[in-house]
Amino acid sequence: MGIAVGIDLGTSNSVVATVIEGQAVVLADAEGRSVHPSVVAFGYGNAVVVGHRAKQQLAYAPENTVFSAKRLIGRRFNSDEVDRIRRMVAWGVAEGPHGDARVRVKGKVYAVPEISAHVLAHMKGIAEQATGQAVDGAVITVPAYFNDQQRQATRDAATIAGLKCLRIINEPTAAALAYGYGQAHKQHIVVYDLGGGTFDVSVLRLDGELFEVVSTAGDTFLGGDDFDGAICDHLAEQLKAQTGLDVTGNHSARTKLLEAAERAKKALSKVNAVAVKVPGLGRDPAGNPIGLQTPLDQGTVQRLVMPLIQRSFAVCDEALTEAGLTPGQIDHVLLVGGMTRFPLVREAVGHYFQKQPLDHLNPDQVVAQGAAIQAFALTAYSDRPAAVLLDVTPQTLGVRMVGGFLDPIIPRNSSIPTEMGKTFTTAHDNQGEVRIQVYQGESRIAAENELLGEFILSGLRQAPRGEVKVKVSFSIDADGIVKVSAKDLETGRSVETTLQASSNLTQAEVEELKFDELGF
Amino acid sequence: MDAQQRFAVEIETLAELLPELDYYRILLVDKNADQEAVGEAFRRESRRLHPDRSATLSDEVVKDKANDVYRLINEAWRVLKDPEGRARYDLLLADGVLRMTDDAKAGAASDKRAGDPESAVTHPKAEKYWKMALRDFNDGQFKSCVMNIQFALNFEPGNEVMKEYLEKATKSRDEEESKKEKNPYKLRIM
Repeated sequence: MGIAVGIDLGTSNSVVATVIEGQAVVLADAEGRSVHPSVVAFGYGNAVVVGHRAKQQLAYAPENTVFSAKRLIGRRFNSDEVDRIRRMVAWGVAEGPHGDARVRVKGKVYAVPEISAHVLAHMKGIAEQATGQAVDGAVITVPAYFNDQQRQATRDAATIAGLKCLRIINEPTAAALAYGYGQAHKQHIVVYDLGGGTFDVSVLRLDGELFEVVSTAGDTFLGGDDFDGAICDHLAEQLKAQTGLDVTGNHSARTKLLEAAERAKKALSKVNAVAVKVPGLGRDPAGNPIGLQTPLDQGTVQRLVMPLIQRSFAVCDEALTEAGLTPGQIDHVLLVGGMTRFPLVREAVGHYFQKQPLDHLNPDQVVAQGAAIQAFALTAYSDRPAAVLLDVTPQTLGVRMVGGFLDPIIPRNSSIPTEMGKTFTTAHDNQGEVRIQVYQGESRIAAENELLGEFILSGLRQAPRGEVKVKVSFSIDADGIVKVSAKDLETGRSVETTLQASSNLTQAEVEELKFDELGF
Repeated sequence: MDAQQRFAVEIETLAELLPELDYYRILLVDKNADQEAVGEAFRRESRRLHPDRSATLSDEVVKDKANDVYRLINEAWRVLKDPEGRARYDLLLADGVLRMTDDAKAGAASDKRAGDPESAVTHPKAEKYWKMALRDFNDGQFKSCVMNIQFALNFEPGNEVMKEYLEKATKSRDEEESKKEKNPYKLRIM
C-alpha cells in the first residue's frame, strides 16, 4: 500500500509533505531542496521540465516557461484578473472553448489544469523518490477565497496528473492544522495569510483534534504586489521632483522602478535604510541619460504601506465580528505568506491583536504539513482521529432573481458539507423549462459576482403558470465544490439539470488529458 | 465488530431516522440547554459523526449516508447557534415543524417584508432612490421624497408599495405647500 501526501500547490512554489511516525515531514528531492518553483517549461520537441530546472529556463526562454499558472486557474478569459496576468507574462494567454483562460506556448494551447498537473506530478515524483513508496492520494491546498470553479479546476489537475485527490483544503486551515496538531487545550487562533496577490484571514476554534473554522474573510486584491506598487509610485514622484521626468504611461521605465521597489522592500526587511539607484530611465532634452538615485528608509516605506496594512485589518475586523470575538480574545496569531516576513507587517499585526504573532513555524512549509496531517486523518481510521476539520464556505452562493438581485441560498461562513433547498415555480403557462443562474460572491447585484454556471430545468410538465413547483437542492461538499439537483415536487420525479456556461473542463476532456503511466 | 464497522452501523441507523429528527435530537441536546451546551453538543457529534471518518470505508452508500447525517448536524447548528434563529425555530417546532426549510423561512421573510417597506425594492438601481425616499419620508421631507419615489418607480413601475408611499407623500407635500401659503407671517414682496 502506498502513502498519502499533502501538497501545497502555490502560486510561486510548491511543497510536499507526509506523516511519518506521527510527525508531518516535508519531503526533499535528491539535492535536499524542499521548496520547488511552480514553473513548467516546454523545451525541444515534447520535453517538459518542472521545478528548479524549469525556473532556470525562465531567464533565456521566458515565452516557453509558464509560471504563476495558479493565478489563471478556474478563471474566465474575459476578466480583469486575466488581463492583468497577460501583461505580466511572456507566454501567451488564449481563450478556451468554455470561455476559460488557457496557456499558449510554442503554438500549442494548454488548459490551465494541465499545467498544474505537471507541477503535481513533479511533487508526486519527489515524494515517491524520497520515501521509496508509491503515492496513492493527496490532499491539495487552495486559498480560502477560491471559488467553486477554481477548486474544481484544481481537482481536475490532480486527476490529469493521475493523483487521487483525497480532499481540497484551505491554506489558512492547513496552517492551523500544522500548528494545533497534537495540542490538547482549547484556544481561538487567527491565521493571517498575506501573499503576493491576495489576503486571507481565518478565525479558528481549536479543541483537541477538532479544528473548527469559525469565520473567514479576504481581499482578493491585496498583497505584496500592492506594496511594491505603492513604493514604486513614491519612486516615480521622487524622479519627477528630481529630474522633471514623468514616467506615467512609460511601460519600460515603470517596470524598472517596480523592480527596484521590490528589491528595496526585500532589503528593508533586514536593514533600516537603502540607497535606490535606477539608471537608464530616459533622456533629457540635451540627450543626457536620466536615472534615479534616492535614499529610502523604513520610516518612509512604513508611511507608504500603512494604508494597505490598515486595509487588511478592516478585513480582520470583519472576520472577528462574524466570529463574535475581539482581537484581545484571540489566543494566538499565525502568520502565513511571504509578505508576513516583512517586519512592518509583523509589528502591525502584533499591535492589532495585542500579542506577538507566533514565529516558530516555517511559513514555507506549514501549509504542506497541515495538508499531510489531513491526508493522514483521511486514510487511517482510528477511534481517536488525528484531526477533524470543520471548514466553512468562503463566499455566498446564490441565484439571480428577476430584477438582477442575488438571492442568497447558502450564506458565506456556513459550515460544510451543507445543503439548502429552494423551490422555483414557472412564470408562464406551459413553460417547458426554468433557467437558473448560480453565482458566488457578496454583492447584492448578481452580475457583480462570479457566475458559476447556468442550470436549465427542462422537460417540465405542461401546466398553468405557478403550478409546477421544482425543488432545487444546492449542496457544497467538503471540498467546497457546488452540486445541484432538482426534483418536481408534484410528481416526485427528478428533473434533468444541465450545467452550462461553466468555464471548467468536462469530465471527458479531463479523461482525454490524463497523463499516461509513464508520466507525460 | 471493529470501530469502523460500528461507525458504519451507527450511520446506517441514524440515516433511517433522519426524517423524524428535530435539531435538538440530531445534536443529542436538551431543548432547554443554554447556547454553550448546544455548541458543545455540536462539537461532540462532529467528532463522532463527521463524514471524514467514513473516508476509509469502501461502501459508497454508507459514505453518502454519512454526508446526509452530517448535513443535518450542520443545518441544526447553523440555525441554533444564532439565538434569534433558535427562537424562531422553537416556535416552528412547537407547531410540529422539524426543519427550518426554505419554505418555513420564506414564510418568516414575507412576514418581515410586510412590516418593512425597505425590502419592497427588487431592482438594484431603484434601491438607492427607494432608501433615500424612505429617509425623506421619515424626516418629513415630502417634496424630495416624491421625487425619489418617482426615480425608483422608473425602474420598477409596477411596485405597489412604492405607489402607496407616493400617494401618501404627495398628499403630505401638497398639505405642506398649502400651509405655507396661509402662513400669516410670510412677507410678500409685491
